[in-house]
Amino acid sequence: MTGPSGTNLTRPPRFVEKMLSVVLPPGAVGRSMLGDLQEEYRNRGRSPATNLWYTLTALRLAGAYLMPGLIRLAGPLVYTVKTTVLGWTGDVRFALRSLKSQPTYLIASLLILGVGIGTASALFSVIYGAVLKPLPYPDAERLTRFGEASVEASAGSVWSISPANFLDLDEGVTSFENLAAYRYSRWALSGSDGPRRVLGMEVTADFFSVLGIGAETGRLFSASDDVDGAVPTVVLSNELWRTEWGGAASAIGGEIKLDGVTHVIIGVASRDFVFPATPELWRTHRWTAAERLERQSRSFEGIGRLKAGATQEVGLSDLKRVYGSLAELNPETNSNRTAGARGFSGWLVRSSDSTRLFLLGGAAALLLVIACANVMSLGLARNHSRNLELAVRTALGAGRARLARLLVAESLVVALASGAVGALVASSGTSLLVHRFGSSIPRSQHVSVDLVTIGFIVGLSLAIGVAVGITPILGPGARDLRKNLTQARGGMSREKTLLFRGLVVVEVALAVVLVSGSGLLVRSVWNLSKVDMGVDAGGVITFSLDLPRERYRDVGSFLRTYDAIQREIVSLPGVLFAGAQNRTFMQGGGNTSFEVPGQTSSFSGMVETRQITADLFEALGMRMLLGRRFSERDRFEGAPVIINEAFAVTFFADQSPVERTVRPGGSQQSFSIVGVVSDIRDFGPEDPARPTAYFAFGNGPWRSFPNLTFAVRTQGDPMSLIPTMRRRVQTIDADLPLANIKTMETIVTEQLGAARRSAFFLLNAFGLLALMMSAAGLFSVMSYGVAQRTHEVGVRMALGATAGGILTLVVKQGLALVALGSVVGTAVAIGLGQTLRGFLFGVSPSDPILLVVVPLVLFSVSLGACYLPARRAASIEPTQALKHE
Amino acid sequence: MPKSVLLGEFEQLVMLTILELDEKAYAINLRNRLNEIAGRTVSRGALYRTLDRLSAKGYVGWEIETDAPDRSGHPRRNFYVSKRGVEMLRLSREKLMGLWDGLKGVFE
Repeated sequence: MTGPSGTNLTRPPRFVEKMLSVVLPPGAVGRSMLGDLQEEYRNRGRSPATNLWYTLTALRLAGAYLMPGLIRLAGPLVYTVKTTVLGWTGDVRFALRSLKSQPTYLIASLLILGVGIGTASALFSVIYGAVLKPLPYPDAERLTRFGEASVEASAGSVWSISPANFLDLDEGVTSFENLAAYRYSRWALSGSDGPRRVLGMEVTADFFSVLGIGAETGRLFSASDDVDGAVPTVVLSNELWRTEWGGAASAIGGEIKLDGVTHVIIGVASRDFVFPATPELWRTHRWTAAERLERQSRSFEGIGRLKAGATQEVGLSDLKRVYGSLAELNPETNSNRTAGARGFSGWLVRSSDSTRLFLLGGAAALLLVIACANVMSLGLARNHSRNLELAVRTALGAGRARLARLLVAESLVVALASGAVGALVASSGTSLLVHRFGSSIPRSQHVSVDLVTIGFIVGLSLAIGVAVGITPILGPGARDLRKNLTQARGGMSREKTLLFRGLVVVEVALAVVLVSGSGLLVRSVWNLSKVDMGVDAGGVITFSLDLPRERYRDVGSFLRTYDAIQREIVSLPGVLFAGAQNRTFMQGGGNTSFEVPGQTSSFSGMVETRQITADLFEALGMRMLLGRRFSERDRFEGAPVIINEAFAVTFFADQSPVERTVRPGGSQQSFSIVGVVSDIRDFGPEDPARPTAYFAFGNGPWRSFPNLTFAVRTQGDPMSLIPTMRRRVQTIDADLPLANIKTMETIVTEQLGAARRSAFFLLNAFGLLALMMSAAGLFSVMSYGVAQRTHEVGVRMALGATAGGILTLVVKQGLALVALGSVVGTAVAIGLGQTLRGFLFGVSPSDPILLVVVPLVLFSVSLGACYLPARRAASIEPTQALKHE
Repeated sequence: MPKSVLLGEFEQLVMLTILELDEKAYAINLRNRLNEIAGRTVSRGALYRTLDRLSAKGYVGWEIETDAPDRSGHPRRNFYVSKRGVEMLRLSREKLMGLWDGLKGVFE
């Protein structure tokens, strides 16, 4: 194979060759060596393995030429490092011996600091993986998520896009390299043990090239895949490929059935694929002739790659320009609309997500500071009891630097060992967070304790080790270390006592901040749980039942099967009502604009639409406010619709809506309102109910026959009826699985929101830990203080002080520190409470109840922490105390 | 007269192999043949450094071949043993043989 200039095309990696040529001898000697390697490379044949061989061989050869020179140069450096290391090794050995003699101090420090470092690192690994880690897509800043948006929508709003609008944008934009459309779908994937539902993505052929990722194996979609008549093709996700095909290359070219249609597997996507939800497979979407004209139904999402040099702003104005001309040409569908776009990474990691994660990271950092203050005060107490040893060292000539190295070596040993404990805590903490709250963590599949987190732990441990070790030398109280031998056995200096107490105040203040934060969330969750969601959830079980389209092509058999299933379920003993709708409960669903013929409405928003069976309202415990419920005849006769209270208020204000006519946008058919039903909060307790229109199943505006989700009201424990229901359903169709089985109570609880639940869980855990740590800190400081003042207590008692008086004295001193800490902490908590505003519901960041309750909790915990040392002080025998020291 | 007393074992092997291969004595052939003789894999680094050393001492020289195939224009060095090198080999051989001869009793 020879190139155009006659040079050989089978050349080794240029970069490696270039680097090697720098190291080898100059002139013909070096070039001949490159030639030798080139010749061997050629003989082996070009392949990734040969490239690897070449690189390793070049490294070895470079090593042979570099090493002698390096050794000559490094000699003096090695000597310096060696002597320093040997010095430190001695100090570390001494530190280990000394720590071994005081295991309580070591264990307490390891636990406190280990938990502190571990929690902070777990949060760091989540923040890094979710927010900070660069996206795996090349030039990710050029990726844009786009769609349609209302002209009144806030900047950055991106709604779904209709096929025809997408195709016109694709045709018209000039600042993008390419655009792709996608949408999530669920398909039945046939397997040896029956079909199962998989989450997939329908994409246009350019989808992967927009993202810029390659295939793990095989190939990704190309333009030939979405032309009419081509064999349907799929790309597998890495996970599906590994679990179902064991990662075998033979999967490529194989066939699978999706909803009964055979597809050929052409490749496996790179594991780097990052999207809000990772699909199990992708297939190309082929635009039908009808879709090419469809502007009303907006069911696709858009993603594009900007040309090099084009900014997101340029991209958005380009999209808006093209959309503007579409709006002029198609006023009936595109008026009041424009294009919406935002940067892909900003869309992937919403700012509310990153704010929440950074907030929790901040809380973990506060916990770490408490842990450090705790360990520092333990260390101070320990160093004080070693004054004699340090004074002897000083007398024998050890300077300040020498003492510093000794103390820093010791605290480094403690901190690094705590780092190891912290790594274990971080590893299990990260898995716990991803497992429990993965749905509220962006890119959670890429969150793990990786090398960056390990580096963070090591760096943090080193920094803490140095800071904790060096404070006694540099900070107040340093004089103690340089006391002469005669003074070494005395009490603490004033400065050191101040530092000691200051640490307690800091710990208490930070604990107040964390406990207040968790208190605010506890109150919010309590308030949310009190919101009337509009459904009577007790005793209601829900599940979805999808009739496979390949076996139920005929509408008649489709509807008859659902009727039969509903009859079977209702006939079960213990079942009161069974109803169904075409959407998962409490997750929103389809929506459209509505108009009341002959009336202009100021409401330009969307109305939620549902198709339901007759008994749904009874099953959910919703009340008919006006008119009537659906009867069986409504499925086939007339065009009835039931609206909710919010719809009635929005469109008819104080007039009666019953028997009025309404028309869904994009439909030629008008519907007559037959009843008004109570509202349910489909979008969670914080969102007021939206206007909703209920159509009789099979008699909606679009003549579509969707799959149904059932709600069954039972007497007693609803879960106990599931096996019987499953059996009954399978008497009708043995291959129908009940999917997404959940009690309505679970669904309502989920409405509190995964994001808030994660914050609730973590802040409560941090608050509890902070409380424990500050109590432990107070306990150790008070115990140490009492031990130091044994002599003074003896004198007081000899002069007539009672045991009760001594107890009060010690407790009062401890509580004075707690009081000061509480005041400082409360002030800080009020300030920081504002950052929690997004998570709060029905409670103010400066909630007066919390401002009183939290310091009281701290006080009662602290009272316990002070009481034990105080009782010890009060039980001191004056004669013994006076002999002390 | 060269001043060093003896050539190293690997130096002798390299020089003898150059003589054996004659006109085909360039690094790749040399290394392949040395691998056979030594019964182990000779590292490229060790071979090149030894050739550098031998040429610095004047025992080995080379000629440049610029149009060798498969080398993308890189030159090839064809090695030969200089007269001094041959003399040094002869001397080393004599010294070693003398030593061997004196120890016949041990080995017979």
